Amino acid sequence: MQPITDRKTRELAGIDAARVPWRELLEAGEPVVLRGLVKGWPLVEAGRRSAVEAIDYLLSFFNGRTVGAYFGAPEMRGRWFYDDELRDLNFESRRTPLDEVLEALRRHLDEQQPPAVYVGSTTIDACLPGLRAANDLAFDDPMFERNAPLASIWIGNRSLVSAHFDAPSNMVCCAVGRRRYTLFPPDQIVNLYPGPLDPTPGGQPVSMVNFAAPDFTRHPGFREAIGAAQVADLEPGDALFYPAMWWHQVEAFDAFNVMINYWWSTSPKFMDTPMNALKHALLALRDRPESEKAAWKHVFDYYVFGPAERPRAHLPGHAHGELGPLDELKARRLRAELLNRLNR
Amino acid sequence: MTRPVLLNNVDHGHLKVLTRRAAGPGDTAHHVLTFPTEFADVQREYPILFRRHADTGEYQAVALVGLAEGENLFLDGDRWTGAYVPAIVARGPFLIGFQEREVDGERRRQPVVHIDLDDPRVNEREGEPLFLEHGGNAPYLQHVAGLLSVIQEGIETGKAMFAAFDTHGLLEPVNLEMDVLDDVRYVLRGYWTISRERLAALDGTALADLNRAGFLEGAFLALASLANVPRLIDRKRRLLAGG
Repeated sequence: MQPITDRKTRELAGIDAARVPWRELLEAGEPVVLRGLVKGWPLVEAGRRSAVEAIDYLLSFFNGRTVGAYFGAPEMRGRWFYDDELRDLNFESRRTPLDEVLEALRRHLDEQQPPAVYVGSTTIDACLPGLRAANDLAFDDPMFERNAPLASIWIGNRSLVSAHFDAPSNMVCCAVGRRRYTLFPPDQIVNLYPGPLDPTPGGQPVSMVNFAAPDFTRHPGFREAIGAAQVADLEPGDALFYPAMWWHQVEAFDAFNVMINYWWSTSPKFMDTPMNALKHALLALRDRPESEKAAWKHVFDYYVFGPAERPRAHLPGHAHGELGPLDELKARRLRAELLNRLNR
Repeated sequence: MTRPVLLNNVDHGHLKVLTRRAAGPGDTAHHVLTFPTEFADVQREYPILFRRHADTGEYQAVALVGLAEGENLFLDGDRWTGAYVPAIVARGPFLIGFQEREVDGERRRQPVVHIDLDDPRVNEREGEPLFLEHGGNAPYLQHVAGLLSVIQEGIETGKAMFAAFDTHGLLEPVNLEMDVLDDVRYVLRGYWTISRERLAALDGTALADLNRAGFLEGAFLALASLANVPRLIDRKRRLLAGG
Protein backbone atom coordinates (compact mmCIF):
# COMPACT_ATOMS: atom_id res chain seq x y z
CA MET A 1 0.00 0.00 0.00
CA GLN A 2 1.27 3.44 -0.98
CA PRO A 3 1.39 6.20 1.63
CA ILE A 4 -0.66 9.33 0.79
CA THR A 5 2.46 11.50 0.88
CA ASP A 6 6.23 11.15 0.56
CA ARG A 7 6.78 13.51 3.46
CA LYS A 8 8.36 11.53 6.27
CA THR A 9 8.16 12.30 9.96
CA ARG A 10 11.35 13.75 11.45
CA GLU A 11 13.65 11.07 12.90
CA LEU A 12 16.01 10.80 15.81
CA ALA A 13 18.42 7.87 15.85
CA GLY A 14 20.55 6.40 18.60
CA ILE A 15 18.29 7.43 21.49
CA ASP A 16 18.66 5.21 24.56
CA ALA A 17 15.37 3.85 25.96
CA ALA A 18 16.53 5.03 29.40
CA ARG A 19 17.20 8.59 28.16
CA VAL A 20 14.22 9.73 26.18
CA PRO A 21 14.36 13.54 25.84
CA TRP A 22 10.77 13.91 27.03
CA ARG A 23 10.81 17.64 27.63
CA GLU A 24 12.35 18.45 24.23
CA LEU A 25 9.91 16.17 22.42
CA LEU A 26 6.96 17.86 24.08
CA GLU A 27 8.26 21.38 23.47
CA ALA A 28 9.10 20.72 19.80
CA GLY A 29 5.39 20.05 19.32
CA GLU A 30 5.66 17.81 16.27
CA PRO A 31 5.88 14.07 15.62
CA VAL A 32 9.28 12.40 15.91
CA VAL A 33 10.31 8.84 15.05
CA LEU A 34 12.80 7.34 17.50
CA ARG A 35 14.38 4.56 15.46
CA GLY A 36 15.21 1.43 17.39
CA LEU A 37 14.27 2.96 20.75
CA VAL A 38 12.89 -0.31 22.14
CA LYS A 39 14.75 -2.83 19.95
CA GLY A 40 16.18 -4.38 23.10
CA TRP A 41 12.77 -5.31 24.58
CA PRO A 42 12.39 -9.09 25.03
CA LEU A 43 8.94 -8.77 23.41
CA VAL A 44 10.52 -7.22 20.29
CA GLU A 45 13.19 -9.94 20.20
CA ALA A 46 10.58 -12.70 20.57
CA GLY A 47 8.55 -11.16 17.73
CA ARG A 48 11.62 -11.03 15.50
CA ARG A 49 11.99 -14.78 15.94
CA SER A 50 8.33 -15.47 15.14
CA ALA A 51 4.76 -14.38 15.79
CA VAL A 52 4.20 -17.60 17.73
CA GLU A 53 7.08 -16.80 20.08
CA ALA A 54 5.69 -13.33 20.69
CA ILE A 55 2.27 -14.84 21.46
CA ASP A 56 3.80 -17.33 23.90
CA TYR A 57 5.82 -14.56 25.51
CA LEU A 58 2.69 -12.49 26.10
CA LEU A 59 0.78 -15.53 27.39
CA SER A 60 3.49 -16.09 30.01
CA PHE A 61 2.25 -12.91 31.78
CA PHE A 62 -1.48 -13.45 31.35
CA ASN A 63 -3.51 -13.34 34.57
CA GLY A 64 -6.83 -14.72 33.28
CA ARG A 65 -8.63 -11.38 32.90
CA THR A 66 -10.98 -10.53 30.07
CA VAL A 67 -10.27 -7.62 27.75
CA GLY A 68 -12.39 -5.60 25.34
CA ALA A 69 -11.87 -7.41 22.03
CA TYR A 70 -13.11 -6.52 18.54
CA PHE A 71 -14.08 -9.16 15.98
CA GLY A 72 -14.83 -8.50 12.31
CA ALA A 73 -15.54 -10.51 9.17
CA PRO A 74 -12.66 -11.21 6.75
CA GLU A 75 -14.33 -8.93 4.15
CA MET A 76 -13.70 -5.78 6.20
CA ARG A 77 -9.96 -6.42 5.78
CA GLY A 78 -9.20 -5.07 9.21
CA ARG A 79 -10.69 -1.61 8.60
CA TRP A 80 -12.44 -0.94 11.93
CA PHE A 81 -15.13 1.39 10.80
CA TYR A 82 -18.87 1.77 10.14
CA ASP A 83 -21.21 -0.26 7.98
CA ASP A 84 -21.99 1.15 4.52
CA GLU A 85 -25.11 2.96 5.72
CA LEU A 86 -23.37 4.51 8.73
CA ARG A 87 -26.01 2.94 10.98
CA ASP A 88 -23.72 0.81 13.07
CA LEU A 89 -20.13 -0.26 13.44
CA ASN A 90 -18.82 -2.92 11.06
CA PHE A 91 -17.61 -5.19 13.88
CA GLU A 92 -18.63 -6.68 17.20
CA SER A 93 -17.00 -6.08 20.54
CA ARG A 94 -17.02 -8.71 23.28
CA ARG A 95 -15.30 -9.09 26.61
CA THR A 96 -12.98 -12.02 25.98
CA PRO A 97 -10.14 -13.61 27.96
CA LEU A 98 -6.90 -12.35 26.38
CA ASP A 99 -5.58 -15.89 25.88
CA GLU A 100 -8.60 -16.70 23.69
CA VAL A 101 -7.89 -13.62 21.58
CA LEU A 102 -4.24 -14.62 21.20
CA GLU A 103 -5.21 -18.19 20.28
CA ALA A 104 -7.66 -16.86 17.67
CA LEU A 105 -4.87 -14.76 16.17
CA ARG A 106 -2.51 -17.75 16.25
CA ARG A 107 -5.04 -19.99 14.45
CA HIS A 108 -5.30 -17.60 11.50
CA LEU A 109 -1.61 -16.60 11.21
CA ASP A 110 -1.16 -18.24 7.81
CA GLU A 111 -4.42 -17.16 6.17
CA GLN A 112 -4.52 -14.61 3.36
CA GLN A 113 -7.84 -13.12 4.51
CA PRO A 114 -8.35 -13.97 8.16
CA PRO A 115 -11.23 -12.74 10.30
CA ALA A 116 -10.21 -9.43 11.87
CA VAL A 117 -9.29 -9.58 15.56
CA TYR A 118 -8.18 -6.60 17.61
CA VAL A 119 -7.54 -5.67 21.19
CA GLY A 120 -7.11 -1.94 21.48
CA SER A 121 -6.08 0.39 24.27
CA THR A 122 -5.91 -2.22 27.04
CA THR A 123 -4.16 -1.34 30.30
CA ILE A 124 -1.10 -3.60 30.45
CA ASP A 125 -0.95 -4.00 34.21
CA ALA A 126 -4.59 -5.12 34.30
CA CYS A 127 -4.12 -8.19 32.10
CA LEU A 128 -0.38 -8.76 31.65
CA PRO A 129 1.16 -7.88 35.03
CA GLY A 130 4.94 -8.11 34.94
CA LEU A 131 5.26 -7.51 31.20
CA ARG A 132 6.53 -4.01 31.82
CA ALA A 133 9.36 -5.19 34.09
CA ALA A 134 11.54 -5.78 31.02
CA ASN A 135 9.50 -3.98 28.35
CA ASP A 136 9.12 -0.38 29.42
CA LEU A 137 10.50 3.13 29.14
CA ALA A 138 12.02 5.25 31.89
CA PHE A 139 9.73 8.13 32.84
CA ASP A 140 12.22 10.21 34.76
CA ASP A 141 11.08 13.69 33.78
CA PRO A 142 9.47 15.73 36.59
CA MET A 143 6.36 16.14 34.40
CA PHE A 144 5.50 12.48 35.14
CA GLU A 145 5.53 12.90 38.92
CA ARG A 146 1.90 13.99 39.11
CA ASN A 147 0.78 12.47 35.83
CA ALA A 148 2.02 8.90 35.49
CA PRO A 149 1.59 7.76 31.88
CA LEU A 150 -1.09 5.19 31.07
CA ALA A 151 0.62 2.15 29.51
CA SER A 152 -1.60 0.23 27.11
CA ILE A 153 -1.18 -2.66 24.72
CA TRP A 154 -2.71 -3.04 21.25
CA ILE A 155 -2.78 -6.49 19.67
CA GLY A 156 -4.23 -7.67 16.37
CA ASN A 157 -3.76 -8.89 12.86
CA ARG A 158 -3.82 -6.62 9.82
CA SER A 159 -5.72 -3.48 10.79
CA LEU A 160 -6.59 0.05 9.83
CA VAL A 161 -7.91 2.54 12.35
CA SER A 162 -9.13 5.67 10.60
CA ALA A 163 -7.63 9.03 11.45
CA HIS A 164 -8.69 10.47 14.79
CA PHE A 165 -7.16 12.52 17.57
CA ASP A 166 -6.51 11.72 21.23
CA ALA A 167 -6.43 14.26 24.02
CA PRO A 168 -3.13 13.18 25.67
CA SER A 169 0.41 13.18 24.27
CA ASN A 170 1.45 9.81 22.94
CA MET A 171 4.60 7.69 22.78
CA VAL A 172 4.00 4.65 20.61
CA CYS A 173 6.34 1.66 20.68
CA CYS A 174 6.04 -0.71 17.75
CA ALA A 175 6.88 -4.10 19.29
CA VAL A 176 5.76 -6.76 16.80
CA GLY A 177 4.84 -6.30 13.12
CA ARG A 178 5.15 -3.20 10.92
CA ARG A 179 3.01 -0.14 11.49
CA ARG A 180 2.32 3.04 9.55
CA TYR A 181 1.12 6.28 11.11
CA THR A 182 -0.29 8.95 8.80
CA LEU A 183 -0.23 12.16 10.81
CA PHE A 184 -1.95 15.54 10.44
CA PRO A 185 -1.67 18.67 12.58
CA PRO A 186 -4.82 19.59 14.57
CA ASP A 187 -5.87 22.37 12.16
CA GLN A 188 -6.64 19.75 9.48
CA ILE A 189 -9.87 18.65 11.19
CA VAL A 190 -11.99 20.40 8.57
CA ASN A 191 -10.20 18.56 5.72
CA LEU A 192 -10.53 15.16 7.37
CA TYR A 193 -14.35 15.05 7.47
CA PRO A 194 -14.91 13.57 10.93
CA GLY A 195 -17.71 11.03 11.38
CA PRO A 196 -20.42 10.95 14.05
CA LEU A 197 -19.57 11.86 17.64
CA ASP A 198 -21.44 8.73 18.65
CA PRO A 199 -21.09 5.82 18.07
CA THR A 200 -17.41 5.74 17.21
CA PRO A 201 -15.22 2.71 16.44
CA GLY A 202 -12.87 3.41 19.33
CA GLY A 203 -14.13 6.28 21.45
CA GLN A 204 -13.11 9.21 19.23
CA PRO A 205 -14.73 10.49 16.05
CA VAL A 206 -12.85 9.20 12.99
CA SER A 207 -12.21 10.61 9.53
CA MET A 208 -14.73 9.41 6.95
CA VAL A 209 -12.13 9.65 4.19
CA ASN A 210 -10.93 6.36 2.75
CA PHE A 211 -7.23 7.18 2.39
CA ALA A 212 -6.68 4.23 0.05
CA ALA A 213 -9.28 5.55 -2.43
CA PRO A 214 -10.23 9.13 -1.53
CA ASP A 215 -13.49 10.43 -2.99
CA PHE A 216 -12.46 14.00 -3.79
CA THR A 217 -15.98 14.89 -4.88
CA ARG A 218 -17.32 14.27 -1.42
CA HIS A 219 -14.14 15.20 0.42
CA PRO A 220 -12.46 17.91 -1.69
CA GLY A 221 -10.60 19.38 1.27
CA PHE A 222 -8.71 16.12 1.72
CA ARG A 223 -6.26 17.32 -1.00
CA GLU A 224 -5.23 20.05 1.40
CA ALA A 225 -4.94 17.51 4.22
CA ILE A 226 -2.56 15.46 2.05
CA GLY A 227 -0.45 18.60 1.68
CA ALA A 228 -0.15 18.82 5.45
CA ALA A 229 0.29 15.10 6.10
CA GLN A 230 3.40 13.20 7.12
CA VAL A 231 4.02 9.47 7.35
CA ALA A 232 5.92 7.45 9.92
CA ASP A 233 6.70 3.86 8.93
CA LEU A 234 7.69 1.84 11.98
CA GLU A 235 9.56 -1.44 12.18
CA PRO A 236 9.54 -3.58 15.33
CA GLY A 237 11.64 -1.78 17.92
CA ASP A 238 10.89 1.73 16.59
CA ALA A 239 9.00 4.33 18.57
CA LEU A 240 7.01 7.38 17.55
CA PHE A 241 6.15 10.43 19.58
CA TYR A 242 3.29 12.66 18.52
CA PRO A 243 1.75 15.55 20.40
CA ALA A 244 -1.73 15.65 21.88
CA MET A 245 -4.52 16.35 19.39
CA TRP A 246 -2.62 15.39 16.23
CA TRP A 247 -4.78 13.36 13.88
CA HIS A 248 -3.40 9.90 13.12
CA GLN A 249 -4.47 6.99 10.97
CA VAL A 250 -2.88 3.75 12.13
CA GLU A 251 -2.23 0.72 9.95
CA ALA A 252 -0.72 -2.57 11.03
CA PHE A 253 0.52 -4.73 8.17
CA ASP A 254 1.37 -8.17 9.51
CA ALA A 255 -0.47 -11.30 10.59
CA PHE A 256 0.41 -10.49 14.19
CA ASN A 257 1.09 -6.99 15.49
CA VAL A 258 1.68 -5.65 18.96
CA MET A 259 2.10 -2.04 19.96
CA ILE A 260 2.61 -0.58 23.39
CA ASN A 261 1.81 3.06 23.96
CA TYR A 262 2.03 5.61 26.72
CA TRP A 263 -0.48 8.40 27.00
CA TRP A 264 0.18 11.23 29.30
CA SER A 265 -1.11 14.66 30.04
CA THR A 266 0.64 17.52 31.77
CA SER A 267 -2.63 18.95 33.08
CA PRO A 268 -3.89 18.41 36.62
CA LYS A 269 -6.26 15.46 37.05
CA PHE A 270 -9.14 17.64 38.25
CA MET A 271 -9.46 19.13 34.78
CA ASP A 272 -12.31 17.65 32.74
CA THR A 273 -12.06 16.26 29.24
CA PRO A 274 -12.56 19.11 26.75
CA MET A 275 -14.97 16.81 24.87
CA ASN A 276 -17.45 17.48 27.71
CA ALA A 277 -17.04 21.21 27.12
CA LEU A 278 -17.56 20.63 23.40
CA LYS A 279 -20.76 18.66 23.94
CA HIS A 280 -22.03 21.28 26.33
CA ALA A 281 -21.20 23.95 23.75
CA LEU A 282 -23.37 22.07 21.23
CA LEU A 283 -26.17 22.26 23.78
CA ALA A 284 -25.57 25.86 24.79
CA LEU A 285 -24.14 27.69 21.78
CA ARG A 286 -24.21 26.13 18.34
CA ASP A 287 -27.81 26.79 17.36
CA ARG A 288 -28.01 30.41 18.54
CA PRO A 289 -28.19 33.25 15.99
CA GLU A 290 -24.93 33.96 14.14
CA SER A 291 -24.58 37.42 15.71
CA GLU A 292 -24.87 35.96 19.21
CA LYS A 293 -22.41 33.19 18.38
CA ALA A 294 -19.94 35.78 17.07
CA ALA A 295 -20.28 37.69 20.34
CA TRP A 296 -19.76 34.52 22.39
CA LYS A 297 -16.63 33.81 20.37
CA HIS A 298 -15.18 37.07 21.71
CA VAL A 299 -16.18 36.06 25.22
CA PHE A 300 -14.55 32.63 24.91
CA ASP A 301 -11.43 34.16 23.38
CA TYR A 302 -11.22 36.52 26.33
CA TYR A 303 -11.81 33.98 29.12
CA VAL A 304 -10.63 30.66 27.69
CA PHE A 305 -8.49 30.78 24.57
CA GLY A 306 -6.57 34.01 25.19
CA PRO A 307 -3.87 34.52 27.81
CA ALA A 308 -5.09 33.13 31.16
CA GLU A 309 -3.80 36.21 33.03
CA ARG A 310 -5.63 38.81 30.95
CA PRO A 311 -9.13 38.51 32.49
CA ARG A 312 -7.72 38.87 36.02
CA ALA A 313 -4.78 41.21 35.48
CA HIS A 314 -6.83 44.34 36.22
CA LEU A 315 -8.55 42.87 39.30
CA PRO A 316 -7.27 42.66 42.89
CA GLY A 317 -6.24 39.12 43.90
CA HIS A 318 -9.08 38.62 46.37
CA ALA A 319 -11.59 39.15 43.55
CA HIS A 320 -10.09 36.60 41.12
CA GLY A 321 -12.31 33.66 42.10
CA GLU A 322 -12.36 31.14 39.29
CA LEU A 323 -10.54 33.61 37.05
CA GLY A 324 -7.46 32.76 39.10
CA PRO A 325 -5.54 29.51 38.58
CA LEU A 326 -7.72 26.53 39.50
CA ASP A 327 -6.73 24.13 42.23
CA GLU A 328 -8.35 21.00 43.62
CA LEU A 329 -10.77 22.97 45.81
CA LYS A 330 -11.76 25.57 43.23
CA ALA A 331 -12.30 22.80 40.70
CA ARG A 332 -14.62 21.04 43.15
CA ARG A 333 -16.69 24.18 43.63
CA LEU A 334 -16.91 24.75 39.89
CA ARG A 335 -17.94 21.12 39.32
CA ALA A 336 -20.66 21.31 41.98
CA GLU A 337 -21.97 24.52 40.49
CA LEU A 338 -22.03 23.06 36.98
CA LEU A 339 -23.68 19.82 38.10
CA ASN A 340 -26.32 21.85 39.81
CA ARG A 341 -26.90 24.21 36.88
CA LEU A 342 -26.91 21.46 34.26
CA ASN A 343 -29.65 19.65 36.11
CA ARG A 344 -32.76 21.42 34.89
CA MET B 1 -45.17 -9.50 36.10
CA THR B 2 -42.35 -7.03 36.12
CA ARG B 3 -40.88 -5.17 33.18
CA PRO B 4 -37.66 -3.55 34.40
CA VAL B 5 -35.93 -1.26 31.91
CA LEU B 6 -32.99 1.09 32.12
CA LEU B 7 -34.38 4.48 33.11
CA ASN B 8 -33.60 7.36 30.75
CA ASN B 9 -34.83 10.92 30.33
CA VAL B 10 -35.91 10.44 26.69
CA ASP B 11 -38.25 7.45 26.84
CA HIS B 12 -39.36 8.14 30.42
CA GLY B 13 -39.32 11.93 30.44
CA HIS B 14 -43.00 12.22 31.43
CA LEU B 15 -43.26 9.42 33.97
CA LYS B 16 -44.51 10.04 37.49
CA VAL B 17 -44.58 7.77 40.51
CA LEU B 18 -47.23 7.60 43.22
CA THR B 19 -45.09 7.81 46.33
CA ARG B 20 -47.88 7.73 48.91
CA ARG B 21 -48.50 4.13 47.94
CA ALA B 22 -45.88 2.21 49.88
CA ALA B 23 -47.07 -1.25 48.95
CA GLY B 24 -46.01 -2.54 45.60
CA PRO B 25 -47.17 -5.69 43.89
CA GLY B 26 -46.00 -8.72 45.82
CA ASP B 27 -45.24 -6.84 49.06
CA THR B 28 -46.93 -9.44 51.24
CA ALA B 29 -44.24 -10.68 53.60
CA HIS B 30 -44.18 -10.09 57.34
CA HIS B 31 -40.55 -9.07 57.08
CA VAL B 32 -38.65 -6.89 54.61
CA LEU B 33 -34.98 -7.04 53.67
CA THR B 34 -32.82 -4.52 55.44
CA PHE B 35 -29.16 -3.61 55.17
CA PRO B 36 -26.34 -2.56 57.52
CA THR B 37 -26.28 0.81 55.76
CA GLU B 38 -29.67 1.59 57.35
CA PHE B 39 -29.49 -0.39 60.62
CA ALA B 40 -29.18 2.84 62.64
CA ASP B 41 -32.56 4.05 61.31
CA VAL B 42 -34.26 0.66 61.21
CA GLN B 43 -33.34 -0.36 64.77
CA ARG B 44 -35.42 2.48 66.25
CA GLU B 45 -38.68 0.92 65.09
CA TYR B 46 -38.21 -2.61 63.80
CA PRO B 47 -36.70 -5.82 65.17
CA ILE B 48 -33.72 -6.75 62.96
CA LEU B 49 -33.43 -10.51 62.50
CA PHE B 50 -31.38 -12.74 60.24
CA ARG B 51 -32.43 -15.44 57.82
CA ARG B 52 -30.46 -17.89 55.74
CA HIS B 53 -31.00 -17.70 52.02
CA ALA B 54 -32.70 -20.92 50.90
CA ASP B 55 -30.27 -21.50 48.00
CA THR B 56 -26.96 -19.93 48.95
CA GLY B 57 -27.07 -20.42 52.74
CA GLU B 58 -25.88 -16.83 53.13
CA TYR B 59 -27.32 -14.76 55.95
CA GLN B 60 -29.64 -11.87 55.13
CA ALA B 61 -30.95 -9.24 57.52
CA VAL B 62 -34.68 -8.58 57.69
CA ALA B 63 -36.81 -6.04 59.53
CA LEU B 64 -39.85 -7.68 61.11
CA VAL B 65 -43.06 -5.84 60.18
CA GLY B 66 -45.77 -8.34 61.13
CA LEU B 67 -46.53 -11.43 63.15
CA ALA B 68 -48.89 -13.48 60.99
CA GLU B 69 -47.89 -14.80 57.61
CA GLY B 70 -48.17 -11.99 55.05
CA GLU B 71 -49.04 -9.39 57.70
CA ASN B 72 -47.57 -5.88 57.59
CA LEU B 73 -48.49 -3.91 60.70
CA PHE B 74 -46.85 -0.78 59.27
CA LEU B 75 -49.24 -0.54 56.35
CA ASP B 76 -52.48 1.37 56.75
CA GLY B 77 -54.16 0.70 53.45
CA ASP B 78 -51.22 1.41 51.19
CA ARG B 79 -49.74 4.11 53.45
CA TRP B 80 -46.61 3.32 55.48
CA THR B 81 -47.10 4.35 59.12
CA GLY B 82 -43.54 3.93 60.41
CA ALA B 83 -41.36 7.05 60.78
CA TYR B 84 -38.57 5.42 58.78
CA VAL B 85 -39.51 3.49 55.65
CA PRO B 86 -36.96 0.72 54.96
CA ALA B 87 -35.01 1.43 51.75
CA ILE B 88 -36.26 -1.71 50.01
CA VAL B 89 -39.83 -0.40 50.42
CA ALA B 90 -39.08 3.29 49.89
CA ARG B 91 -37.37 2.62 46.57
CA GLY B 92 -40.85 2.01 45.09
CA PRO B 93 -40.84 0.72 41.51
CA PHE B 94 -37.08 1.19 41.05
CA LEU B 95 -34.40 -1.46 40.86
CA ILE B 96 -30.64 -1.47 40.60
CA GLY B 97 -29.18 -2.69 37.36
CA PHE B 98 -25.62 -2.81 36.19
CA GLN B 99 -23.98 -1.47 33.13
CA GLU B 100 -20.50 -2.36 32.01
CA ARG B 101 -18.39 0.52 30.91
CA GLU B 102 -14.80 0.71 29.85
CA VAL B 103 -12.67 3.22 31.65
CA ASP B 104 -9.02 3.43 30.57
CA GLY B 105 -9.37 0.05 28.88
CA GLU B 106 -10.66 -1.67 31.99
CA ARG B 107 -14.14 -2.95 32.61
CA ARG B 108 -16.07 -1.25 35.37
CA ARG B 109 -19.45 -2.40 36.58
CA GLN B 110 -21.56 0.63 37.32
CA PRO B 111 -24.89 0.58 39.12
CA VAL B 112 -27.68 2.22 37.11
CA VAL B 113 -31.34 2.89 37.87
CA HIS B 114 -33.97 0.61 36.37
CA ILE B 115 -37.72 1.14 36.62
CA ASP B 116 -40.46 -1.50 36.53
CA LEU B 117 -42.85 -0.13 33.91
CA ASP B 118 -45.55 -2.63 34.96
CA ASP B 119 -45.66 -1.36 38.54
CA PRO B 120 -49.10 0.26 39.08
CA ARG B 121 -47.47 3.22 40.85
CA VAL B 122 -45.82 4.26 37.57
CA ASN B 123 -47.98 6.55 35.42
CA GLU B 124 -47.97 9.84 33.49
CA ARG B 125 -50.70 11.69 35.41
CA GLU B 126 -50.11 11.90 39.13
CA GLY B 127 -47.32 11.58 41.63
CA GLU B 128 -43.72 12.72 41.75
CA PRO B 129 -42.12 13.53 38.39
CA LEU B 130 -38.82 11.77 37.69
CA PHE B 131 -37.33 14.43 35.47
CA LEU B 132 -37.20 18.20 35.37
CA GLU B 133 -38.57 20.20 32.45
CA HIS B 134 -35.49 19.83 30.26
CA GLY B 135 -34.49 16.33 31.28
CA GLY B 136 -32.46 16.93 34.44
CA ASN B 137 -32.96 14.59 37.40
CA ALA B 138 -35.86 15.65 39.62
CA PRO B 139 -35.34 15.71 43.42
CA TYR B 140 -37.41 12.53 43.81
CA LEU B 141 -35.18 10.63 41.38
CA GLN B 142 -32.09 11.86 43.21
CA HIS B 143 -33.65 10.61 46.45
CA VAL B 144 -34.33 7.22 44.84
CA ALA B 145 -30.74 7.03 43.57
CA GLY B 146 -29.61 7.55 47.17
CA LEU B 147 -31.90 4.75 48.38
CA LEU B 148 -30.62 2.41 45.71
CA SER B 149 -27.05 3.05 46.77
CA VAL B 150 -28.04 2.36 50.41
CA ILE B 151 -29.30 -1.01 49.13
CA GLN B 152 -26.38 -1.68 46.80
CA GLU B 153 -23.69 -0.78 49.31
CA GLY B 154 -25.69 -2.57 52.00
CA ILE B 155 -25.72 -5.82 50.03
CA GLU B 156 -21.93 -5.71 49.70
CA THR B 157 -21.31 -4.71 53.32
CA GLY B 158 -23.91 -7.17 54.59
CA LYS B 159 -22.25 -10.15 52.92
CA ALA B 160 -18.95 -9.43 54.63
CA MET B 161 -20.52 -8.41 57.93
CA PHE B 162 -22.80 -11.42 58.34
CA ALA B 163 -20.01 -13.80 57.31
CA ALA B 164 -17.86 -12.23 60.04
CA PHE B 165 -20.73 -12.63 62.58
CA ASP B 166 -20.95 -16.28 61.55
CA THR B 167 -17.19 -16.79 61.84
CA HIS B 168 -17.25 -15.42 65.38
CA GLY B 169 -20.25 -17.59 66.28
CA LEU B 170 -22.41 -14.55 66.99
CA LEU B 171 -25.52 -15.75 65.20
CA GLU B 172 -27.87 -18.14 66.99
CA PRO B 173 -31.22 -19.54 65.85
CA VAL B 174 -34.23 -18.21 67.68
CA ASN B 175 -37.92 -18.99 67.90
CA LEU B 176 -39.81 -15.82 68.69
CA GLU B 177 -42.76 -16.59 70.93
CA MET B 178 -45.10 -13.67 71.23
CA ASP B 179 -48.15 -13.61 73.48
CA VAL B 180 -50.42 -10.99 72.04
CA LEU B 181 -53.55 -11.78 74.05
CA ASP B 182 -54.35 -14.54 76.53
CA ASP B 183 -55.44 -16.80 73.72
CA VAL B 184 -53.46 -15.31 70.83
CA ARG B 185 -49.85 -16.41 70.53
CA TYR B 186 -47.48 -16.29 67.57
CA VAL B 187 -44.32 -18.34 67.16
CA LEU B 188 -41.96 -17.19 64.45
CA ARG B 189 -39.39 -19.75 63.38
CA GLY B 190 -36.46 -19.79 61.01
CA TYR B 191 -34.75 -16.63 62.26
CA TRP B 192 -31.36 -16.00 63.76
CA THR B 193 -30.33 -13.21 66.14
CA ILE B 194 -27.10 -11.87 67.56
CA SER B 195 -26.30 -13.85 70.68
CA ARG B 196 -25.94 -11.47 73.62
CA GLU B 197 -23.83 -13.99 75.54
CA ARG B 198 -21.40 -14.65 72.71
CA LEU B 199 -21.07 -10.97 71.90
CA ALA B 200 -20.26 -10.28 75.54
CA ALA B 201 -17.74 -13.13 75.57
CA LEU B 202 -15.71 -11.95 72.54
CA ASP B 203 -12.03 -11.44 73.38
CA GLY B 204 -10.10 -8.26 72.67
CA THR B 205 -8.68 -9.42 69.35
CA ALA B 206 -12.07 -10.43 67.99
CA LEU B 207 -13.62 -7.16 69.15
CA ALA B 208 -10.82 -5.16 67.58
CA ASP B 209 -11.14 -7.09 64.29
CA LEU B 210 -14.89 -6.58 64.11
CA ASN B 211 -14.55 -2.93 65.05
CA ARG B 212 -11.82 -2.24 62.52
CA ALA B 213 -13.97 -3.76 59.79
CA GLY B 214 -16.83 -1.50 60.87
CA PHE B 215 -19.00 -4.50 61.83
CA LEU B 216 -19.19 -4.22 65.61
CA GLU B 217 -21.71 -1.38 65.53
CA GLY B 218 -23.94 -3.51 63.27
CA ALA B 219 -23.97 -6.31 65.86
CA PHE B 220 -24.99 -3.93 68.64
CA LEU B 221 -27.64 -2.21 66.54
CA ALA B 222 -29.18 -5.57 65.59
CA LEU B 223 -29.14 -6.63 69.23
CA ALA B 224 -30.66 -3.35 70.43
CA SER B 225 -33.39 -3.61 67.81
CA LEU B 226 -34.93 -6.59 69.65
CA ALA B 227 -36.40 -4.05 72.09
CA ASN B 228 -38.89 -3.33 69.30
CA VAL B 229 -40.52 -6.77 69.60
CA PRO B 230 -42.86 -5.63 72.40
CA ARG B 231 -43.75 -2.52 70.38
CA LEU B 232 -44.62 -4.70 67.41
CA ILE B 233 -46.85 -6.79 69.71
CA ASP B 234 -48.53 -3.56 70.86
CA ARG B 235 -49.27 -2.67 67.24
CA LYS B 236 -50.84 -6.08 66.79
CA ARG B 237 -52.92 -5.68 69.96
CA ARG B 238 -54.19 -2.29 68.77
CA LEU B 239 -55.12 -3.88 65.45
CA LEU B 240 -57.01 -6.68 67.18
CA ALA B 241 -58.71 -4.14 69.46
CA GLY B 242 -59.96 -2.44 66.33
CA GLY B 243 -57.88 0.67 66.14
